[in-house]
Amino acid sequence: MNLATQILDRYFGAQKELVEVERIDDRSVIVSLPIHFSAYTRVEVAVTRLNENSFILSDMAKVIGELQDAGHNFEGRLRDRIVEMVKISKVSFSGTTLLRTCTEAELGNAILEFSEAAKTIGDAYLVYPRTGGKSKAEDDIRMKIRKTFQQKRYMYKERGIVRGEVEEHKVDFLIEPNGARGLALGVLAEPDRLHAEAWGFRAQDIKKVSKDRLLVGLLYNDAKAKDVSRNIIEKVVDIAIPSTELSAFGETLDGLGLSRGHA
Amino acid sequence: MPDAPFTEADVKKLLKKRKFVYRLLEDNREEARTNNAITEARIKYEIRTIAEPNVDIRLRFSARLPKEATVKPFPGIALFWYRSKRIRGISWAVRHEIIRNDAKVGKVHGWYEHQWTDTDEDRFIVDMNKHIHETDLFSMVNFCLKRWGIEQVEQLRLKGVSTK
Repeated sequence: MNLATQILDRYFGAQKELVEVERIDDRSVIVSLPIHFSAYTRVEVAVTRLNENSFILSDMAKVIGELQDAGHNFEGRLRDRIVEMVKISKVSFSGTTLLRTCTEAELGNAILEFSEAAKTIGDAYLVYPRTGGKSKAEDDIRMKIRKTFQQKRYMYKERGIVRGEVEEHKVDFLIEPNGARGLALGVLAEPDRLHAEAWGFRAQDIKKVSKDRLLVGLLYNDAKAKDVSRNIIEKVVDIAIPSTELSAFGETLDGLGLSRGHA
Repeated sequence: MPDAPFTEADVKKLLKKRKFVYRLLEDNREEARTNNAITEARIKYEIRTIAEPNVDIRLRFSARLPKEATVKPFPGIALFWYRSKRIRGISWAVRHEIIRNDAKVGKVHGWYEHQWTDTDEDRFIVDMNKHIHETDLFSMVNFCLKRWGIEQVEQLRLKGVSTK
């Protein structure tokens, strides 16, 4: 036996021991492969016969599911990047499930390519920060805002949606007007010019629809705010609160005549 | 290198404390049943300790069940501390290696539980097959809440959603 054959024999022998297969029904089996991603989870592929000559491969939503269970969000930039990355493997998404169809002749290669795509997606967690990756400082600010609202007995909602003339806007905290005056409050941890200008647009768009019924406020990290962004923020919103003045937030709220009705 | 703001001992202490579902953050089961565009049912709770009900300890309980694409999927349940660190979690696999102190020490077929450790974070798992009997989302949520010491107040008690 030559060296190449010997190495390949050993390799395929090990693969045979490491691969596990579980029969689900007459048409489907799950193939568990020695390929791992987040939390040392294996790539497992459900292979289902569709008809005489075609199969469908599915990860049973396990790859994205495992990433979600490990604290990663499958949305926005990460989702776009993943969809782009796996195109080459002919893998598509149905919600959070990875799918690929193939002929019987393609099946071996298809399983290999599918599992490679699954591993690539699973490893996205190494590159992208987990959800809730907000800094401790930002979390502390949010905590203080919550406490102030609770102490002052305002009914508030976190991550509210506010209608603008052009589009809907997400805000970090929302006190609904309920016939009086409400507050849409954002927290800006990185108050650079770009973010300040974005908030400028957001505030104007919200106010075009809400008139004076909804005030727009921004609590920003003044340790990171440069003069230019500070100027923009203070001009475009109704209430601009630097994080170092958070202790006065409660008093500021007192003077605004906000609704205390049910959100 | 683990970077969690807590230790394995903190996790054990937390799990022993009496906790409760403070508020429901998400439950889209009804929408998921009727809207084809929604591809998985999700339930999310904020959890607090009974000793300090006014303090958000950043503990979140999450459950999800993807809709069936080709074969029936199983629910995935997790308990996150500091929002994204999975300190406990229950899932199913044909095979999952048990990692202890960075080494493979065994394997599980079927249901397993992730248990946070200082060295392996959420890679350490234990076999749960003898504990799990009902595998629908509703039963799994109730099982995990009980197992992880989380009580449900009557108003927030999870109701079953018809599958018809």
